[in-house]
Amino acid sequence: MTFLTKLIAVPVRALAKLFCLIPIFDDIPLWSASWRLSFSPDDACKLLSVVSAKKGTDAARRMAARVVEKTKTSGPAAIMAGIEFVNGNFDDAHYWVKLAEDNKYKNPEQLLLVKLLLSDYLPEYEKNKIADRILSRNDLPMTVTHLALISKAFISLEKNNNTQAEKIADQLLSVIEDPYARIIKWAVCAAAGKNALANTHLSKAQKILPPKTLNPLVAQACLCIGDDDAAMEWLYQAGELDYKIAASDSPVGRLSRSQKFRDFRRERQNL
Amino acid sequence: MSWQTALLLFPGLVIGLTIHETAHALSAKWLGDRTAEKMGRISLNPFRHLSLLGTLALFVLGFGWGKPVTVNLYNFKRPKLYYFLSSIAGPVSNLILSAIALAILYLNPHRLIMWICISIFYINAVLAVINLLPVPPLDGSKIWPCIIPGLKPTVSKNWSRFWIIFLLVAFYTGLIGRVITPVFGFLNSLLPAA
Repeated sequence: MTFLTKLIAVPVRALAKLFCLIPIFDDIPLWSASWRLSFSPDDACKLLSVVSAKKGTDAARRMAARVVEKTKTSGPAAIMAGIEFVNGNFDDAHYWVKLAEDNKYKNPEQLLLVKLLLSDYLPEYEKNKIADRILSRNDLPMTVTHLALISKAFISLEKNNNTQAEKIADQLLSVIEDPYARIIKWAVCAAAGKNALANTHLSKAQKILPPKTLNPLVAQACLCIGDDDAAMEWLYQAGELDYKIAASDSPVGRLSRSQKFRDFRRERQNL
Repeated sequence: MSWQTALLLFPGLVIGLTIHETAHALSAKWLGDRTAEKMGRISLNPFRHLSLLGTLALFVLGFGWGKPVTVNLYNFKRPKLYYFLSSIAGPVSNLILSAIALAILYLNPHRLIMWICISIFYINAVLAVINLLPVPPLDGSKIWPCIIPGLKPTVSKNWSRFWIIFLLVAFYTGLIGRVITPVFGFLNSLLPAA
């Protein structure tokens, strides 16, 4: 029976994909049918993503409780946690992670990305440990490893281990022209007084990232190398911060909420 | 391409794409990255590899493609070399499959086996050649940056967009046909005389 229903799910899934390409048709009933036939975690993830995008987070949340419980793998819970995270509902994201962990659902490594993201907002998650767990695996998607490497590089900068930070940046740059790696290289060079080289790295990062994204990152790097004044200047240049950065427990998030920065901003605005 | 020809080539496409994608996933695993294995891509089950668009393209464009195999380059000790090897593994597997089918054809097999072998021979040779074009999502877009000095193995989205536009222009101006026609001519010359 399972084989037969899974076989029937194949054309249903194909039709759902086709309906995705032609937006005049509603593909949600087909994704739902495909999941009911196969109970596959991939179908569950797709269903939750589609429902969240088309009907909103509340609808996805209502559906998720049953989908997560039925599939008993961490993937759908991770997707739901990711949706909550994107919407800034950090405690709700934590709820889905806890649900998957408490019930010991399969493939818990699928939760690592959202746990790494949550580590900037909730004290339950320790960034360094989560990044280490990600980097100890060789079966996770590239975006997850990429984020873990960037996190490790910033942690190394904070601990004044600039050699390690530069090594990680070089590893990132061996694969792709990465603006985050350039910012790390900029910080390492700036800390060593190699200003010309530092500016080369910064200008390469500026070619890829818009100022709104780049400036808080440079501010973060400045904080890591102990240059608080420069950090405030970069943060001020960033203008209105994204609410996620402003709410985060990262050094730059804490700086943005500090009285010291408020005074600095007021002083600059009065000039 | 007529429906009859496309249907004739279909078994070759299913076998070719399955072996092609499995070769990518298996070589990545051997080189230290188990991302594709975790996603169930080391499998001879065609449903794990066939993509809807890529299969439909066979009937429209005359060639098809499978779901791309996900590789995590950060798991490779030497990203540029290992990415090249895992990317070239697909076209190489198609060439091997094509050579095996050709060898069977020289053994003068039963008529049904002969048709299957002709299908496997043609489609796999075409898959190997087409995949060397430097156009995303084809393997050539991963292979060439690994060979050209100074380029990084992962290219930017702008670079990808340029090649997709190039592919569309090449398709409508007949440039693709100029690549495929000599390939088919060469392949015909390799077949044993009826």
